[in-house]
Amino acid sequence: MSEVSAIEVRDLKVHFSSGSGSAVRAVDGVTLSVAAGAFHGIIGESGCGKTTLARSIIGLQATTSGSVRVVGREREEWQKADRLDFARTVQFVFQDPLGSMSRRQTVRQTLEEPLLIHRHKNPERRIEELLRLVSLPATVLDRLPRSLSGGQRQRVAIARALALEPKILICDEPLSALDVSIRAQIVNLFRRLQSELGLTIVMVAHDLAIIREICTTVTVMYLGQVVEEGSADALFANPTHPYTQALLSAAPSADPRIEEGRQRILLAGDPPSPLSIPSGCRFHTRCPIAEPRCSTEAPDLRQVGHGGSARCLLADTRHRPEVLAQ
Amino acid sequence: MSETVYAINDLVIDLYAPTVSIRAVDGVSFHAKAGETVAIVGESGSGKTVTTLAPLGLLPEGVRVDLRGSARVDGQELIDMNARALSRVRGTAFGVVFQDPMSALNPMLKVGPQLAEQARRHRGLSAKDARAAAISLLARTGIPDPEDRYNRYPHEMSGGMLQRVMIALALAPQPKVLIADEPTTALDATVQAQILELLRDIQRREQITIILITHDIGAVAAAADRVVVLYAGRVCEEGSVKQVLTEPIHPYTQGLLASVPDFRAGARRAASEIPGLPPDQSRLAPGCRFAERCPKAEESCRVRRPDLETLSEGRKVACPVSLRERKGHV
Repeated sequence: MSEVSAIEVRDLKVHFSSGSGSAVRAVDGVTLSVAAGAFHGIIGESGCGKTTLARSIIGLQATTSGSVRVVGREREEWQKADRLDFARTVQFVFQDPLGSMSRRQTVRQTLEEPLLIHRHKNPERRIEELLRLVSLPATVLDRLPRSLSGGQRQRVAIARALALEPKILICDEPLSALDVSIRAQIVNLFRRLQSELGLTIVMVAHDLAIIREICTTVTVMYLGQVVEEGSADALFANPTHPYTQALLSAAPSADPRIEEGRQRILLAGDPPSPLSIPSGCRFHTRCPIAEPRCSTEAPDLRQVGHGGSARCLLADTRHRPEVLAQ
Repeated sequence: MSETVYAINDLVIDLYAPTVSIRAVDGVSFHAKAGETVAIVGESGSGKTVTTLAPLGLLPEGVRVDLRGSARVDGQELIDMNARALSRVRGTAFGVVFQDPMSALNPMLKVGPQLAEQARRHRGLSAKDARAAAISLLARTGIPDPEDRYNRYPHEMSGGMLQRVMIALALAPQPKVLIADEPTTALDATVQAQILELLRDIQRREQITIILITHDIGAVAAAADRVVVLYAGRVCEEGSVKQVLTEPIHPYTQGLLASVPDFRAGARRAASEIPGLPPDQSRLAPGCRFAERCPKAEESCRVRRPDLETLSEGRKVACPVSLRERKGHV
């Protein structure tokens, strides 16, 4: 490929010391590549490391080992050399817009701050443009974040992230704090922004339907590792890893006709704690098709039928039992 | 058919905080029969939690409440019941499952004794029988190795396990009605599916009535028989889950369902959105609460409050415009 990837993560590890000598391996050897212009989704349950991964891409989280390259440049060196330049390239949108803004700053001050720091030539005009971009009326400018609705706050947070015209937006669960009807508004906003501004967007989420709806490529994580990746269409149509299959199967459908005849793959128990990661394949303790060797042999990511890859010893093997009912 | 166990009639609830007063619930009525699961669906501020919990005296502290109308369980009127009697009803007729199990359990006590205490207090069991009852409750809610779990502290259990303990705790007094307030919101997807399955199981096995409060349409489809859709403190539509989710009539229900993406529905489609925001409930206009955001709104909608009209047994809609259109088609 001649084009430089927007984000290139190589064997990234983020381990936290838990005090008792053992380490929490939140992100444990993740390799990931996001093409320029992609809308990339990272999905998984709590504790799978998806947020830690997103935060370490932008340097909000110190890493243990491995590397992150952003538009071809080593992230750590870039930030050391020219922090502001890096900030003009990549921006972050947090899950909780209220928690990510100063409660005492008006919307105008919130949007103005990055523009002043970066010595923008015409902050007034840029603020106007930003409001138009995220469809907010000028009347919000003098209000405090607390007096805005959840959807409006998230629009302000997105506008602030876009203030410096970044090329890449990393979003950590930007929709989960919103009500259903408002969520659809923000989904459509993201989609419009991406096509209008040609952004590369990485979105961390646990809501599969939303990832399915807007993302072009997807990474599925389980206990600090990538277990499956590929194009969204192919992966959702043909999930290969038993965990991805169970995750897709677990999400209830809003259509009772589908719910009625459907057989769910119910996984036993909760995801294990990242403090005590199972041996062999990390998923074998909950896997409906695990074989004895799965508890000792750790599988690698390898290419599978849908064109992406999966981390499963049994993926695409002939004797593999069928688990997906629907 | 089976009798009505839980009935809310023309319930009006005003909430008073120091600076504002809010009409949180404005004339809500619905019923639940023995052994059925009724889902109360709505977004934040729709009044779904207040409708079910305020008559039981369960509300955040510091909020003054004014309740009018009727809320009956098993023939007993809850509105204006004195605190003592209400506490007894809460302990015997109702079990409540909250969103966050950690906040409902005492972190300093082992889970088993907390359960046994409930069973003892409300059913008058001896200490020994209460212990046995607690272990059986843990088993009934699908907790593996209940004898061992009896002696665990809440922090030693996972989120899914704790939600099971929470359900066991709610079932301890052998209630007629189980109120589950967003029981799966705080859980992971694979664990949510387990808990919904468990609620379904319990309802079938124990013939208990479940009121499922949720904003998740998927949970409604997976676990409920009937559904009541609330918007800004009023019922806009009611019916069987199948009727309402496959043939919604009220424009709000239609908008709500259209804004839920479903990855099984095949090709990717743009989520259609409901424009605008829910109304400010401290300053309400006289007409239909949804009129400001409604694609079908007419002048009369802004002036006159729509009646909740009955179409057929259990199927109700509060939108004269949609109903008129519907009649036009038939």
